[in-house]
Amino acid sequence: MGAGFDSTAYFLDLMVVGTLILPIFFVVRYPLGRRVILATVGIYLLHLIAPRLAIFYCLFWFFVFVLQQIIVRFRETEPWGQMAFWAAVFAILSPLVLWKLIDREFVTYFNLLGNQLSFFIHDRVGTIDRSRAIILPIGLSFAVFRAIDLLVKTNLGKLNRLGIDRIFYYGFFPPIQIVGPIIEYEELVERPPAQRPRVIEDVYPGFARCLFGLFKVLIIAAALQKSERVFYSYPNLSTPIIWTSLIVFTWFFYINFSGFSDIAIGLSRIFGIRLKENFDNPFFSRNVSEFWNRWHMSLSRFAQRNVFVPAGGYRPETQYRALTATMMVIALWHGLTWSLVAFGIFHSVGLIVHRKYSMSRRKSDPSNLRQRILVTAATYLFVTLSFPLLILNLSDAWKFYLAMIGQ
Amino acid sequence: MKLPVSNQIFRWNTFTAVRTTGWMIVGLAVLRLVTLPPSPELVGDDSLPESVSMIRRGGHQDWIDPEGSRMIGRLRGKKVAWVSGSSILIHGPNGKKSRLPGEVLSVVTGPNGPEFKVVEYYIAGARLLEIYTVALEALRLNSEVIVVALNPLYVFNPSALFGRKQLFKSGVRNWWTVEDWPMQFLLASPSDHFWVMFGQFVPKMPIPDWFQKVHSRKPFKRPQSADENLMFTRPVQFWSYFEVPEVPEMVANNKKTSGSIWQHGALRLSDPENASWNRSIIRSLFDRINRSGVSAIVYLPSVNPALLENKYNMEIYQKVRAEFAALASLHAGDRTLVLDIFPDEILDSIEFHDNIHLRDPGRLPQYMADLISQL
Repeated sequence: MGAGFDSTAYFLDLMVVGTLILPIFFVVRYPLGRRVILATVGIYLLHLIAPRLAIFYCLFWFFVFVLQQIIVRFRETEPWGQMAFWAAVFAILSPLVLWKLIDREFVTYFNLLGNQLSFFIHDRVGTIDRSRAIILPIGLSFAVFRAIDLLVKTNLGKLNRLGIDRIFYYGFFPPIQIVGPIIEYEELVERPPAQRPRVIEDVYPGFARCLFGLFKVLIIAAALQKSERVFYSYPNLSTPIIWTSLIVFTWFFYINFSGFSDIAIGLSRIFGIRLKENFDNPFFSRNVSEFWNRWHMSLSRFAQRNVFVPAGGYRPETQYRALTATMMVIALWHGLTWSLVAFGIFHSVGLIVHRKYSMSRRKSDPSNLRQRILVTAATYLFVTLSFPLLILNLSDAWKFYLAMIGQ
Repeated sequence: MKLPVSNQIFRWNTFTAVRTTGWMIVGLAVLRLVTLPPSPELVGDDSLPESVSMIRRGGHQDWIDPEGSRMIGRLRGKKVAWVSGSSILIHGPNGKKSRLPGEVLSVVTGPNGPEFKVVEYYIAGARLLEIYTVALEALRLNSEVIVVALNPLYVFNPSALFGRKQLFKSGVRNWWTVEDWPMQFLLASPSDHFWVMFGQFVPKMPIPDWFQKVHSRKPFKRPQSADENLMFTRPVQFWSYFEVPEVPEMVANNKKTSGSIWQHGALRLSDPENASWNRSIIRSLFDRINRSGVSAIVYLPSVNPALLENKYNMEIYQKVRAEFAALASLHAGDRTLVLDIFPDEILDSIEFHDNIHLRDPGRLPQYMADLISQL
């Protein structure tokens, strides 16, 4: 449901705007000025998708700002501090949960109300909005998790009261607001924007990284994209073709997603901001645990910080429960469906088995090439088998698995 | 942590300048793939006399047309530019399809008449802003005559000002009057501006077919009915469904996708009294035609009388015509002929395929040919 959005077009626009504002960035010394410039660009680019999207996120991040102030105000006060924190998390999660549970109704009201609000700004903004495509709340999954991360850190005392300019800068940071990664607030401030980006250290490698990402998305991923048809046409395909297409699809999925991450990381680097990596050759992992440390690493880091550790992941008596909870959060972040519940259980079982196995056996010999190839292939096979659960609903996924074994 | 491959490749050293140039070329090639300009399509049509040649821009190709129907190269000889949406389509009996411009020009030229080129700017489902933008492009042709058809369902429809973002690239080139400036910032995207400025420097190269799949990427969807898909992907259908009272019932009673339902909805979303931006665009259209000095016909194609049996539809349709006629009387120049409706005898001879498309144009081609000959 919803259409009309092209991530590639968004990034091309951002590259053009980025090139235009870069000289200003070199000139402007004040961090506040730079934050305002980047947040304005982010809002402008959302407006080009549809004004209602920009309005929605302005309200969303303003709401985060208010909640952050409340948490700071009450965090030292028991029990109000914890109550305020959990109410804030619940409030921030609610649009995402509603969208995932009742997508049709949510998307309908998101578009209808958003359009009405756009008429409040200006008659012409409302008219533009009505002609733009009907859209999903693009980027909401990423925004909600970033907001929660911010509120958690505030509640733990790691972050103090932030001004609206900082919240909007974090919320509308253009390279990551559409397809991630789920960055932490500190990634934007550890190397403050007051520090000038340098051509040799930042702009050139950043630009090259963007081109590399575009090359991955537009050339390699586009070439592999037809493989996604396997999920619709599998009843008419032979078993070897299904297997081959599924394998090709896993590479399409990875190269496409990591290509967009490359563009986001490259664009950030141009502005002197070095984001953490989001992928690290995950299909060459030697076990499931390593896979999740190398696949969509920003999501894994989020889940580790906010679920695994608080749930007792480092304590022997609670480690498996924490692993399962972490994996379920990662799975259900993609959507609230039974097939994604199955995806979470599938990987939780894989992680638990691996952990038990690695504790009971001696470590494998890293110099044994044959052994490395075998465990890497086995891990890849395990991950590949979970992809139908990401794409199809549970009953279709079951039929797909049967087709994979020739039934 | 180990550096990613890209960081290892892009280290700074003495060959940096060479590598940067190399990557610039790769980047331009990638841009070429993203913004692939189609060539003008020379249409072979056996039903046309030899003296008439049709050059067609747009069609379904305009979904990926980054140059917004820009004509490549110069055309010699007499030309008629015809800018229109699908109201020119003729769905004849036995599946025979033709188009109004071809039929009209066959009449104008006759078997041994003067040589004419019809440059047909056809955009399926064209909204007002697309017609305006492409008409500005067509005015650059310096044709003898320009014919502009404004769809009555969209001409004062503030819910459907535009539908094809690709055409903004030609808009950036042509929206230079003060009234057009807001569109440069509110509608055109930065990459549109970039393409207009630097597109000419992008190397042309043969493109393998599969690259075009980038443009047709579709999200995964569970199977839905065609109407449901339309409702949640296209703005006119969406607003019609939630704002025109009869439409949900019409959709529920209709098992198949029906253009008629959405045409009904589009007319009802029209709002001549409050469509200020639409009025401004129409004023600009007349103004730009006047400045060009080209003879012009600007007309509202008639709609199927069956659509107007609903009294609300009739009321809106009359308001649309009246507003259009009022604007034309104020802003159309001496060399512009304006029609807000065809004469009754012509209208009576037309058989409609649906609410707007034709099955049999009747005496319309002869009538239009006479008008063109007068100019």
